[in-house]
Amino acid sequence: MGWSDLILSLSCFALSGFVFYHSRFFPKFTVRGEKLPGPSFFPDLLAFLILIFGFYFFVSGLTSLFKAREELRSSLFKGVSLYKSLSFVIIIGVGFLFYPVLKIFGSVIGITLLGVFLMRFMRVRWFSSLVYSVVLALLIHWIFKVIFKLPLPEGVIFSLLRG
Amino acid sequence: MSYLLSILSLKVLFPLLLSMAFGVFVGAMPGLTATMAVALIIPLTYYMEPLTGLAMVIGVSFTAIFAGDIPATFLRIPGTPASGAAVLDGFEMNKKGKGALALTLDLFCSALGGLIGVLILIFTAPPLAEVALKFTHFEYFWLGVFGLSMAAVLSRGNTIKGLLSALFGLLISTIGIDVTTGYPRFTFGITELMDGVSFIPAMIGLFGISEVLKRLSFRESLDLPSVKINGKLDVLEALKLMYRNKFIIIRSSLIGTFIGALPGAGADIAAWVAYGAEKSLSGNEIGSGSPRGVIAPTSANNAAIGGTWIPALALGIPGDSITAIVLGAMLMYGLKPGPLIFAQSKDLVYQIFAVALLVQIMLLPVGWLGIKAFSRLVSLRAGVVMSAVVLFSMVGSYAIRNSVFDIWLMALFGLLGYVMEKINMPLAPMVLALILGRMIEDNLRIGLIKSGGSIIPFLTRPISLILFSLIVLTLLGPSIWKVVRKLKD
Repeated sequence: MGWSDLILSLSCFALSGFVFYHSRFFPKFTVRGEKLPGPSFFPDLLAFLILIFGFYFFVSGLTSLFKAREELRSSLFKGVSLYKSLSFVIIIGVGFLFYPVLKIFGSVIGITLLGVFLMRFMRVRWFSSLVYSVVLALLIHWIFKVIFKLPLPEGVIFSLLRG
Repeated sequence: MSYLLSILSLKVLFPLLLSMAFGVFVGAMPGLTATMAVALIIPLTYYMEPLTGLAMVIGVSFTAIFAGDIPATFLRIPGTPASGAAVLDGFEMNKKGKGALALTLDLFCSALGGLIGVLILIFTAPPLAEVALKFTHFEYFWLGVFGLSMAAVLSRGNTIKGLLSALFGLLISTIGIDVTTGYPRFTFGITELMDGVSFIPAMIGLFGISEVLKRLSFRESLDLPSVKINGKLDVLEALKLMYRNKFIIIRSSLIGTFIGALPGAGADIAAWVAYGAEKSLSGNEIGSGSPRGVIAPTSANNAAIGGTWIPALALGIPGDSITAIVLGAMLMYGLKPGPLIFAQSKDLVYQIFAVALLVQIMLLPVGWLGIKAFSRLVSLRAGVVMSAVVLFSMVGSYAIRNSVFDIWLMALFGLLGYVMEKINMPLAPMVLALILGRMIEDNLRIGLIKSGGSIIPFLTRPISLILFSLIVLTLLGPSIWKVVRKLKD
């Protein structure tokens, strides 16, 4: 785990540095001249502990690297494929596009579209993906909008059509 | 017995049954919590008699907590926060083709845990409430740290990474307005972060979306059924396992009830603590799909509901967010929760107890039907189920506070969860730290302010000292145990 430990340690250093830097701007908590644990107290304490862990992983990472250099280098990129990278982009991308799509097309059509897109990506046949997506969209609409009265977007298109 | 007979009428039983079905439905839906279910059912009870209304609330809360374990076992998505601990071994058992057994065990343990919790509620409500009242900031701080020390033992294989994961979780929990000074920390002008990082999107992302990403790594598996359910719900095997692990059920139920009785600490914390306690006692077997890892948290989380009613009824202090709503409803019915309720509305209190007992029995058929229905859904092709999981997770995250930001947060936590698992960093401690973060920080700071910056009261008060000793024992116990065993050999 040499490389991953090293990356983890660098993340710990960066995170601690970030917390220490930002907490400097937090106000001091003083009551009648007495300094009390303020807003920066707990984050600073945690950043300090994370820093210690960072050093631990830095040392353990370096030690592992020296022990089995080649093996670790090859294992770092093991399993990284175009499909895998694409699937990450798609799932996270759907997360970010979810609301804009619903805002334009409304909850039922928006969820159906996203459902078809996701299912096609996950190797479900066209017809099945369409049927399942419509059922899913209606179910979500019924549960969240009809029963729980959640304000799911109506959709710009429908709003325009309704005038 | 007369109280039990008095509730056996259609005007109580029928609404109770409906509320339990509603509880299964909401509990099994990621993003919808038991609290939400109770909050939604309260308006329906406005025009009902207090007994019927409270029966519906009791029915919904117990079943929703159980139902949260169904998607936790099948899909690794906790339906409610209280199912966070049940994810670990439940899902591992499911991967081994023992999902049906895990859920049968879960159902029986939930009912039995709930029964023990209710019995403790009946017999010990006033004295237990008094003990809970002795907890001050010092004790609450240690209680929180005790919960987190479980993180170390919860971590499969790598305790150090488990602790680091907990620290990351604690750091994330500091985002938002500082309660003591009102200063916004690490919010960078984002309004949605003022309230802190919403726990449910974080949990859905860490457990659910990361699992979807993991499944996508094996493209061929998308053509197979999402979950293979082997045979029927194995009642006999589950009962055998329960008999073999009877002490775990009793211990976890006691832990659950006690933690539930502490104001502010609900079923989620109870489940984690019971799971951690079992892990520290049973060793590495837990976490890799052990029935014990299912028995402990599921007994504890339902027992905790009984526990939360102890301070609510005896002192008028809510044990968790559900009982906070219930207290409001009781006031609405003209009842005054607190020590006097046992004198002023004795009959109603004992009828409530009788309903809670009945719910545990009714949970078995209702829960069984819930498992059956859900297992049909998850036996579809993985591609369909995973897509549905992604979309439901997104709507569920949005539902918590009608915030688009929470959907983005869930997606980011999904990615974080995937990376963390890739480097063998356990997710459970981070989730636990997110739950306990505010409680630990607030009580540490208020404790320090009260003691003038001294840590002495944290170590000298009797309950604090007991909790501190338990933490040391939890962290060092496994190592000491190993040394002792080596010396013996």
